[in-house]
Amino acid sequence: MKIALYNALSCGGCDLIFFLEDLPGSFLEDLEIVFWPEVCDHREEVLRNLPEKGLEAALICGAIRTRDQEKRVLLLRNKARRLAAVGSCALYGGIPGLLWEKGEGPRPVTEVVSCEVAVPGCPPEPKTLREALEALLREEDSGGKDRGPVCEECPRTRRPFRIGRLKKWGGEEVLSGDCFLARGIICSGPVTRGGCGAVCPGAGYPCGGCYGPLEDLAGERLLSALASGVLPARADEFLEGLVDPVGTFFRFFLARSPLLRLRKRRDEEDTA
Amino acid sequence: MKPVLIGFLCEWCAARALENMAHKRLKLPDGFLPLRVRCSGAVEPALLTEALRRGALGVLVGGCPRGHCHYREGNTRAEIRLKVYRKLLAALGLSPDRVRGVWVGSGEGERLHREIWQFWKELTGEDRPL
Repeated sequence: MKIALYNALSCGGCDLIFFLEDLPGSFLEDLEIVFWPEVCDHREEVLRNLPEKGLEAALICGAIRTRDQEKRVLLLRNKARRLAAVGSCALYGGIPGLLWEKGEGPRPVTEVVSCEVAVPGCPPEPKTLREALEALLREEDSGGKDRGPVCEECPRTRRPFRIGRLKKWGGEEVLSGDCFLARGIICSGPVTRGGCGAVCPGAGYPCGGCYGPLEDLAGERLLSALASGVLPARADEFLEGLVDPVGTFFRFFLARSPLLRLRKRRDEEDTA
Repeated sequence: MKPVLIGFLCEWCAARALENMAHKRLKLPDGFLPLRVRCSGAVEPALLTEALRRGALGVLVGGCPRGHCHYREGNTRAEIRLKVYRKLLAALGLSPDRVRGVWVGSGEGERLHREIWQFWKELTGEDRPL
């Protein structure tokens, strides 16, 4: 089976899991990696010389920033029968997508080409990657859309809460085993799609939202969930503690926010 | 495209203030589209983004005066949410003044009328385009 792997704008963490984890046996049997710039071949001719749909599958990590990256991805779409977008950057823009806060940023792969298989995560949990590769082999489309929020998988104790001052991560709040939100630490669990097994909250770190939005406009929904829980008398304190609203509410999916398109439209009108 | 200002008005105060204004035959801007909601606290930020995304120039959220919410603290929550949402807009380089809260009693039709026109002028005006 011929496959290609490509890494656009990302940290390379998604590539690493291909080495570290036990991938499905049937996937590794009879596997021929034609193109993988980091490890083997990086020449574009290799891809261009292939017949159309000559690749069984291509796995793409990272977001698209340059014209060159876009061309590569379009070429891969043309040559590969099935395309898998791996990691938050490829699916939602991920951390590099935060570049949009102050100007032009990268686009997710899914906005440039259509992908059959989605592997969310930053980086994806081994289990998620394995399931996605198995789906790829079974010729199924997979996006994990049937999952509920991370909170459903979270081992921490839930209880009703009101928020006063926001707290930084660390100390007694982490050790308590209580829901982070109830302790005044921002956690994206309620608006993030599950599937990771809530590993971060389980290990004592609040969810950042790397498995992607549960519904559209997830950033606004997290804002709503938090702001609605604020004690009115301490609203100013809360607002002061919210130093980075964009990074807090849109950490992994800013590149997909409609608010950006709004700004782009305004900028275009300004220049026109 | 014709400029549009969406108004989410709570049915207990702001929407009644609008009726009160209608009795006085006061004229509203052509692009003002009022929507009656159960409570200003029911207007979630995702709705604001949706309205702006679909081309609204501004969004006005009208609720009961402070401390007079029919559901005790709906307007308080709406106000906090608006504050946080405006902070988000500012951080993204958008004008936070495109989203605004107005807290009026059911008899304050004239004040609501004033507020709407003021907002409308700021949105469409030559000197202060938002």
